[in-house]
Amino acid sequence: MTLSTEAIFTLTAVVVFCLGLYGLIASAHLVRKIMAINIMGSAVFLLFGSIARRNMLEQSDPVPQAMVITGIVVAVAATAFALTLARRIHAETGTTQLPEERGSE
Amino acid sequence: MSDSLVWSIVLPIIGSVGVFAIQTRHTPLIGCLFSLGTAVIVASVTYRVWRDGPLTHELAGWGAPLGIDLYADGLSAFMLASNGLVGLLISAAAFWYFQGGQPDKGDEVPNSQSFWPLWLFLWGSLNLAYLSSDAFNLYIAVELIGLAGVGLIVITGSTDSFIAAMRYLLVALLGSLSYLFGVALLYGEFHTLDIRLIAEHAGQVEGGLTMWAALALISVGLMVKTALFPLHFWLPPAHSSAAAPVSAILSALVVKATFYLMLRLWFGVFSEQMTVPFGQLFGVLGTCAIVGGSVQAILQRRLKMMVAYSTVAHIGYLFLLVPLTIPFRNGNDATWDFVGYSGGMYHLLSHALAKSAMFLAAGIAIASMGSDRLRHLRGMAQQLPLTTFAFGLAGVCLMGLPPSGGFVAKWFMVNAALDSGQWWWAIVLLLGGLLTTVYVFLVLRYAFLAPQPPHFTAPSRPLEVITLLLALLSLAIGLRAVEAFDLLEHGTPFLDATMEGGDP
Amino acid sequence: MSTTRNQAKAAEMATDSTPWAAVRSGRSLRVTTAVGAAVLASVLAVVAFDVVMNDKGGLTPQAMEHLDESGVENPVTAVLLNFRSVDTWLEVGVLVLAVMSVFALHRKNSLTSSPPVQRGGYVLSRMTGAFVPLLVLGAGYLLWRGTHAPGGAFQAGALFAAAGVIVRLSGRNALQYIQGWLLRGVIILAFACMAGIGILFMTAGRNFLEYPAAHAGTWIFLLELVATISIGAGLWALFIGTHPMPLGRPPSRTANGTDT
Repeated sequence: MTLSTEAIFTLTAVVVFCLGLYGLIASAHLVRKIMAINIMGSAVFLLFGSIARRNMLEQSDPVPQAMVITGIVVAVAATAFALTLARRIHAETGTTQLPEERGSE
Repeated sequence: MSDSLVWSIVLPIIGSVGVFAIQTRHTPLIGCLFSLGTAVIVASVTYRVWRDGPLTHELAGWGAPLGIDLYADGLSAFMLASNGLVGLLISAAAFWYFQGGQPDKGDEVPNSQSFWPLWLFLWGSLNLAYLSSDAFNLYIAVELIGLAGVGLIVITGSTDSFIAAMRYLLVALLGSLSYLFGVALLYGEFHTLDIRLIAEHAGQVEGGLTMWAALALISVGLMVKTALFPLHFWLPPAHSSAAAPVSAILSALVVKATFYLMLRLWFGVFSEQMTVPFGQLFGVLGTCAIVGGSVQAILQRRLKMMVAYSTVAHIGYLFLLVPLTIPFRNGNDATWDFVGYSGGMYHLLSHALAKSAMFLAAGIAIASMGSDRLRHLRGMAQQLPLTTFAFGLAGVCLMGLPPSGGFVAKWFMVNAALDSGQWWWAIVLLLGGLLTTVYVFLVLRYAFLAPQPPHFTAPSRPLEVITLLLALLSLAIGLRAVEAFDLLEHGTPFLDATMEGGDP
Repeated sequence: MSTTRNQAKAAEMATDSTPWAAVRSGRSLRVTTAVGAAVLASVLAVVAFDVVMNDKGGLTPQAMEHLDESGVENPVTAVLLNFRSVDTWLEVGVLVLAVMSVFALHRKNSLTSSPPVQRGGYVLSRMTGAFVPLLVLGAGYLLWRGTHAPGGAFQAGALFAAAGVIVRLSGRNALQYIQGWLLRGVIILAFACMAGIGILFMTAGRNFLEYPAAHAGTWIFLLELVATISIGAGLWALFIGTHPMPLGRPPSRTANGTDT
């Protein structure tokens, strides 16, 4: 049995989402956490992509694709602010971890 | 015409970008004017819904499923109106709060210039969350609310606020991604994003696994943002490290928005999944929140942390609405319990009023007494009689004593619990009231002690008056609640189910 | 040293805010998380697989049916800028809000005080001179292409921002001396224009952002043009704003309740 493209997309999306979740909880460095959130976001976008591609007749579904584009912009804006905040915390406290996680890595 | 739905979103947001681009000395005044305008529009929407029933506006003229609809029923209007009332008064408080003591040093921007754009944008996003009927549009609304909330926290410029804001931002982003995953599943299943259309088709899904997975993802995502126990860890530092009006906004309004979304989706899209075990689960979580949050509040030695933990506890009350609304005894053909539901919603309104009064009172006390340690509040009653009075009144409402709004809410919820045979929730409700009494009196005890000569600074009188007004309102809404309950009945999220059940 | 004091304070704050602090450490946390994530992945895989593999249709037919009335040829662009234009309006809003939050964090309203970057060498500045015009040209191409193929305002805006970033990294600080009001004005321009046009149509008896079908294409192109500039400026401002900026005065370092 061969897996179709959508199936591979879907499985990848789920695995990547959970990897991102692991990274978010298990890593203490703020930049890693922010990256983990981005990875999770990409996974959801990939899932939207595979939903758009299924039952493709002559055209893949444009609505999920548009949602992905919108979602990317939202993610970019949130990431930029999160990074600014992380750098500011580093400048003020000299560390890149949240206080409750200090020493866990 | 349904244009007022659009105006209630666009007006505050236009005000926001306006005061962001053109920063003048008059920014606070302009901000207040936009707040007033928004409140007027929101009031007109509420009145229209109350009189004529639900309103719809098809954005860009396409209509669902291709386009996005705005939809206002009784529940939306109730949220819009509560938000408008509290928001307007907080705007007035912020006008006075961010005035004194903020000199314009060099090229550094005073707090008020940062506050007004973010707050107006937040207000517009909240209104969007109450009106939008599109699951993906709601995702953007939730992201906007989260970003604006975090931005508002950091304007104090303290290191603590940065750390609290960072934690809040990460949690908020995680929550919205979990929500978005659920939305992807829903789109895959129903190939539409309109929650009313999904609700219509939701009954026909075979094999509920997808629905349960979507429900779990969406619920967890929104629970994190609502700070329901045990996902509340981010809330107390975030809400307590912000400036007083911001704390009031976050505790009174922002956590309620995601709670509203949960209700909307649970009783609309996921009505098939609303079983007794589901309700009991959220009842238990709510109970844990009430007990845990109250005990933590009692243990706090800092005023704002105490008030913030009190918010954790009162979010628990909101979730008791779930087991009280889901029919407990009569099997599948029973109707939703409107009494429990409207009691819970009324608690939402009275908590919004009381908690914003409490946070503003705390802010005044801290600024005047020069410390937020409880033991430094000695003599507060003598030096700040109005503020202490406001704090006490808000406390009365949170305890649920008559004649406050909190009392009416609790009365309805206890009634619903006893009527449906779920007496254990009645005990929880009463126990929560007792625990609230403990921490409110802890503050008042210090307040009434003989004053020590502190570095006392006189507070802004209008700010005290507005705080007192909020506290008085939280009492006044206990005197007459008929209209609010009427409004909630106009197209509740489960109107269809109620009618089916009541019509043999 | 104030840093250590802050750390001590922050640690104190953590202990009274998170009761899990003790639990959340070291290997046990990672193992638990990994197991949890794996379980979650297997459940979600089953569900997502089921959803994607079962043919349940989509909105393609509706979108294709109305494509002619949308004013653009590409269905994705039609969804973005016509069918679901409010999403796009709000997406530009998220960008504006992020800039607002960054400025609020720094207590600034312009980027003029962001620290300068060291000047680049001969090769770098020559290459910048060659690349920036190409990027701007590319942005224009993507914008034009967007009406009948994937592409459009955001992609073009991202290229614009990239040009600005390259200018900045090559050591030319000229761009950041733009007056604060001008920069903020450019960033909000597209967002305000879309809202204004939406309201304009609404007062003319249509719905919010409902284009007159005959001129939809023109309106969309104009909005995309403005959006490209705004998005470019917004992304660029976010890049510069990520730098910690020097402050007028040290921030207050009191613990909770920093009510001044």
